[in-house]
Amino acid sequence: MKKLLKVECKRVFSNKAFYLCLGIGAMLCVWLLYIQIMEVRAFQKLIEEYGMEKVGLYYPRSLYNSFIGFDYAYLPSAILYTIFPLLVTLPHAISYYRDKKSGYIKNILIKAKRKDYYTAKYISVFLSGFTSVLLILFFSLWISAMFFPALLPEVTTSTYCPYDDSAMFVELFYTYPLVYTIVYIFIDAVFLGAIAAIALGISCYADNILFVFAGGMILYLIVDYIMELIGESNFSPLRFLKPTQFACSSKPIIILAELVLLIIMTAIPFLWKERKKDVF
Amino acid sequence: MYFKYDLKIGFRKNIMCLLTAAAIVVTAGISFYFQILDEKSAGLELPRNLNSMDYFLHIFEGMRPFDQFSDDKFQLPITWFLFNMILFYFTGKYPYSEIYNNHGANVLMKGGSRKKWFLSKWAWSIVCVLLYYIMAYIVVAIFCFAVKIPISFDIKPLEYQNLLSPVFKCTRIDTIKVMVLPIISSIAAVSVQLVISLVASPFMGFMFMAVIYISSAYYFSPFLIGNFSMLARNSIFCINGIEIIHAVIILTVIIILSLAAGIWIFLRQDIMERK
Repeated sequence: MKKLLKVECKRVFSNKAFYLCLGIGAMLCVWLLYIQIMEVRAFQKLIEEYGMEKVGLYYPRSLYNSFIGFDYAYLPSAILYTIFPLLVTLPHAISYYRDKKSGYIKNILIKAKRKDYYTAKYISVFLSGFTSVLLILFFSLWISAMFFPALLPEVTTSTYCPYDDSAMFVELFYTYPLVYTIVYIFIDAVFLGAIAAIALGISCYADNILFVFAGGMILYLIVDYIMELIGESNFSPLRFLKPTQFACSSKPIIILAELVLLIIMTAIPFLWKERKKDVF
Repeated sequence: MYFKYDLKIGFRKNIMCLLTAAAIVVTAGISFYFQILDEKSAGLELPRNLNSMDYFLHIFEGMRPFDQFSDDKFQLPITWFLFNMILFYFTGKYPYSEIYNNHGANVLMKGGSRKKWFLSKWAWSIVCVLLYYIMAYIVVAIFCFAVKIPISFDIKPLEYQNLLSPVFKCTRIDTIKVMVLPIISSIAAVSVQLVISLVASPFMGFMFMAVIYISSAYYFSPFLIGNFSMLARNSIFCINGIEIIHAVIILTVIIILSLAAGIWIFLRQDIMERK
């Protein structure tokens, strides 16, 4: 099992698609940073031109409203959080489908136990999604920290999100924002890792590669659509995965319950049903 | 030969997409119906009774132009976005599913023309778009009929909360324009997706369209195709909105360019290498 997991992990980290996924994520983070820096520059020019008295007092931009997860105004963050389910499937989630189509799975199952292969595959797909999200979000945090000071969020400025009293961990955000950020990055990484594993569940039935790739994203959008229709946006991953928690005030129990449901939904068909299928 | 083959094979496994489009339209219609009922029971009176056109406009409205410098926070219009993403999934799934890994290369050889092969895939995509929208429009009509909402094709003013209302008196021609523009817009988008999928992969084509459509919701620009499919940004419903004649010209140019680029690329592509 350990050996297989090592092989699968090696496949993840030596895969070009993994670096493509990181590249797309990093590009969006850099784009956002550029927009924010331009905005700060424009504001500084205004101050130089008209003086502080005319422009008015303002609270400087901080790391805690510049990090991609905390941005609520610009396009790159909207793109990243909407296409995250697509990005996380890119590195390794379709590998099982490819193994089946190419016949590679037969070579492995001659030498290894079925249980070990399927478990290693599931863990490696989860890890590929988890690692890519973690790296992209920490990269954004890092580059934002290079340009913006880690000023404490000030609720009266109305430039920080979450601002709602009922938002999850809101007290933590206004007292220990870095802890909140790191906790949220881990929540996102775990949840999106589980979303990457949806591709494995789909691979059991799919006959088309785009279905495997896009299935997670389509499900993610359908859940958001249904939750919005019934007025329960708190249950939508598209809303609660963003640390701003805009238009939703989720609860840890909701996130945990959805995570468990997601893992059950993907693990049962893959680790239990698919394992019993004849690949030869 | 190609087109007949595509029609036969391409639709076989894609019925689910048409059903999903119907499901989106029905659920959006039900939600709107209950929203209006709730508001009526809360004592809010509508200036007039709603008709099927109001339901149609509500389902396909998208969002009004977003002002990035205002205090409003950006929120993706999920009904519009999901409806379009399902379409891109539908049209991205089939065209290149066989050529690089199955017997598709044999089919190409039997037909004897790469140009015809690509045109056939493009025509198949157009048929998909037409079927998809026809299905959605019919379902809107059936839904309205089922809940006893008068069927009407007139776009009438309605000054009520956020519902779409025309900025000038509309004629039947405007109704046709409003119903046809999302279709032309989707045809152009699908043509672009076909080219991107050819150059990179169906996955990249799908992701590219997702990014374009999110950007379209954010930026009100004629260079972003998604803007044309949002009725809320049309000059009929929005002052300074997109003029239909401009939209048709831009979309036609996009379709022609994508088609030319697609044929040009496919004629020069090494299929065996891609295999």
